[in-house]
Amino acid sequence: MVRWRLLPVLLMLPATFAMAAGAPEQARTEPKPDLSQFQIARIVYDSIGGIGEAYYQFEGRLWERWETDHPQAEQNLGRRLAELTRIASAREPAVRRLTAPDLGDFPLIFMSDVGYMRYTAEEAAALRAYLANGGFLWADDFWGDAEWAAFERFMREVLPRVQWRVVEPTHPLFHMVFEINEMPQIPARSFASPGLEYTAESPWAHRPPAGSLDVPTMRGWFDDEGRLMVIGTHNTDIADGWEREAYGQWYFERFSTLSYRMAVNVITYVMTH
Amino acid sequence: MFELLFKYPAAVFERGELVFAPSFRGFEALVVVMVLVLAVALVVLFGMPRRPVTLGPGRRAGLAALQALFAAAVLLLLAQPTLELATLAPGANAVAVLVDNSESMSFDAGSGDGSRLDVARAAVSGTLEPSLAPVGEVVTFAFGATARRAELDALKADEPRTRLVGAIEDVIASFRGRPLAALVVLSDGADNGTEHDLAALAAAGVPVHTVGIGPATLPGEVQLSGVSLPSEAPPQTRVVAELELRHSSAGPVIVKVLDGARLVAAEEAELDPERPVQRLAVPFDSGPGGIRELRFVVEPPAGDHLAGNNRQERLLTVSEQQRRVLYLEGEPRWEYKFIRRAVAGDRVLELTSWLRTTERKTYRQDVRDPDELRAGFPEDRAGLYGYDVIVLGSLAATYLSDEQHDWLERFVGERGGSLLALAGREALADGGWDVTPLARALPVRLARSATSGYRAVEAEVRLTAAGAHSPMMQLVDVEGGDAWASLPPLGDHQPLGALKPAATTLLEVLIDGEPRPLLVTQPYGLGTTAVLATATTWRWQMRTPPHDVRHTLFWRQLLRQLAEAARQQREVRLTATDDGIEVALIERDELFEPRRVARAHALVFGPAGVEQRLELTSEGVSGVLRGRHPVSDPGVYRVDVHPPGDPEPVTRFVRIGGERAEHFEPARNDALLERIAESTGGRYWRPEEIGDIARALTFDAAGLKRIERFPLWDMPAALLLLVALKGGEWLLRRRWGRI
Repeated sequence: MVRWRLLPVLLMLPATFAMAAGAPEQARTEPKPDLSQFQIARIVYDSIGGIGEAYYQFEGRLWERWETDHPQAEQNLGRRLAELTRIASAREPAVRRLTAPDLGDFPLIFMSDVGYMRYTAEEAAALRAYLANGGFLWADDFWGDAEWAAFERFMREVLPRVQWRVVEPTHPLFHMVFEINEMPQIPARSFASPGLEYTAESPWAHRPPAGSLDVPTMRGWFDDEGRLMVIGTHNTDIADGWEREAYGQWYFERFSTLSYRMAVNVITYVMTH
Repeated sequence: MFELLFKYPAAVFERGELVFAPSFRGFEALVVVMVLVLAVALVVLFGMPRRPVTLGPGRRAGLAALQALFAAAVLLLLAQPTLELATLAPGANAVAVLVDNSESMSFDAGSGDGSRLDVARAAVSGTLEPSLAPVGEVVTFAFGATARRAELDALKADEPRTRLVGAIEDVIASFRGRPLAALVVLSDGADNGTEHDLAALAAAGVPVHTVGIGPATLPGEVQLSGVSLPSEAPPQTRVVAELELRHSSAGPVIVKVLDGARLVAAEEAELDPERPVQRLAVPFDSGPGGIRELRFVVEPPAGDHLAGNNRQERLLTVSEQQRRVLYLEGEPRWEYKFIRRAVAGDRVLELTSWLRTTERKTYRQDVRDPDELRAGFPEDRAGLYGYDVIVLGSLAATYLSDEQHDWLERFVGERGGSLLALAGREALADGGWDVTPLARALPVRLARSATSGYRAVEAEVRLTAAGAHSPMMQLVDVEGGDAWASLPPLGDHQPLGALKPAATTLLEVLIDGEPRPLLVTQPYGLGTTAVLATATTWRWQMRTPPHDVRHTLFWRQLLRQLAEAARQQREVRLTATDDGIEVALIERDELFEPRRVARAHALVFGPAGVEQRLELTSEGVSGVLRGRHPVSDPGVYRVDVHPPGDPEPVTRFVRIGGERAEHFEPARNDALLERIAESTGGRYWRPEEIGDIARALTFDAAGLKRIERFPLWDMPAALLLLVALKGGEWLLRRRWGRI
């Protein structure tokens, strides 16, 4: 998420472009999932722009938007799910494009950092069919007005007749296993410090115009039976709480516990509705 | 020839008693004859004049024997041997002639002589009646379902049913107190009565002579001889009708199912001339709630004789009565979500679920009140028995108490509920269920294995032969092909162990090319159990196009059929007979023990809408009330049963008559006609032999009889014997030169 150190990025460009170009294709159907276990699928997508938009440099390498927090977030989540719940959870996430023929083997898919997302009509149609079958999409880690607008535009293409609504903490999802009374705001570690109460990320780190990033919300798209099909956890980075749980005790206690509680509630909701 | 030699029919010799005139009988006559024979033999041996002996002793003995035999024969005849037996008293008895007047007698006789009735009429008036005149009065009856006196010329072969044995019993009863020599029945034997109590018929002591009319076979005939269909079904469910085709034909037939004028199903079948009885399963959708008046119609190949037996009608009550399903699941998993989704919105199934989300927390869905399943498992047996179906997911057996395990087994065996066990890492043997009481009820012998428990494996599913006929397994493929073959493979499997003797495998999977049972059911006690060795049927939902409803259909039909099989606290059964509706109301308490109810009533609405009250009373069986409503008009009857203390009646429908019973099994039924004749002491005759019946009656009949004597001394055979003996002696003497 930090994207201003351009020199190392430029040096790494050839290798990282090759990696970025190859990864989505490799990620279409392999490895085959273990269907006797719960396994989340990280969705590979394309983003618009160049460095600082579709790509960013962090911790010595160039990241694509789709792989934000991946795979550490899912790996930690898999372990914690097995500890906290009775879900038989796989330790490794799957990686798929929306058009993957076996996308249906993952009734819960996860997208991160979708603010620069670029999509094709084929991808929108595939997601539409996936949701119609009972699949569930969780989009996380997008902040501010512009990034929200990008995702909402995509969802309008996918579900043109469904209007999103804020999923309030009174919704059963917030009370499935853990009692959660407000939507947690989880910042990237760069924006979190011990003792600091302010948890929103900085607007300049996100797609302009960002507007205010202060209020985290869960926004949902519901089906005709009132069941959630898609949630977008906006102005928050729930998966960072999983990924960075080992950053320190203060971070774990302050943010990771909230992230895991939210994950347990979302996943048990998805697996029961 | 027999009579030419012996003067009388064989029956006289079979039944007659030998006497010697004037008064010798039996043993005394035999003694007298033996004495005379001995005397003659002594005379022959010692009284003959002594001549020079020129013959050897052997030849002399031969001649002596011939002479002795001749003398004995003469003496025997001089004793006037006579047969005595009882014969019909001429003119003192009646003979009842029964002519089949049912609709099947209007069919062609197959002999070029018109209808079967024409042939019977000609045989009676032309041959039978004149030949029976010496016997006595000939009384003619016509019969269908019952018998009545009738003039032959007035018969029209228009009665809708045939009760052959019942009609004969009616006639015998009408002669009570009057001498009845015999019955002669002219029929094609195409009986559609329900009971053939031949022992009772034989006990009446009146011989029945049967005359078979009509062709024994009808080449090219095709008939829809049977339709087997459940009387009730939930709405929008696949129902399977089992059709039986009897035929002597070959080629394609089309079978249609119509609801009024609407075509609901059509199937094509190929008639195999080597298989005169073929069965065909026709699945169709039950449609919305209400009563379905279904017509099953066969369109046969050319050559079919009768159109009237190509269709049958049935009623199907589509009931929206809700059935309760309890799903107990030990871990959040996709199968749980997608089973719930498949059943959601179903008008029949009310699915309540209980799920262990963490080691200490559970989650309930769709409970009727806040206290339901608060403790996780129903708190008492009555609470458990309130459900029709239990679905056991991946829930370790150790989570339940011994008492709860006992309840589960009794839920199936005693309450008559249905239980479905799913696969999972803590299900079946992996979950320790092999050592619970429920293991006795399951259709497989659960066996633990250290190496081959629940695991992820890709497995193609396929329907078994038994599954193809099961209403649970009827799917419609969106592409119109094999609905099962095109399903996505499953993603897991759990070995089940050996099948029990009563188990039926409805689905199987191919793993490494080997078929393994996937869905197995069996009856247990009063209920049903099933095991599904997978927990990834959700793949049928997620890996198919959104408009593909096979996953939903599978789960709804499986659970609906299991729910249908479960006993209810209150059941109403209607049985249609030829002339009435039998109504039974069965009441059970919350533990499914018989509930004592003294009486109830029902309102019966006939085809014309007339309402009649029917009292239902207990007949000694606790919890069962019965009543019988006589009916005469064919049509659909509605019966509203009003259980005591319940303002809502239970409504059922039943059809009386309607089908043209006489058009079914239209060929001559020799087997039945022969059995009737043999069991009563009569005989089975062909029409061309009908003139011989009168003579047979002389000796075989019942009725008033007299003792008649049949002298034997002058029968030609006796004269021939004497001539043969003397002629033989003459020939021997001539050969030996003694003449």
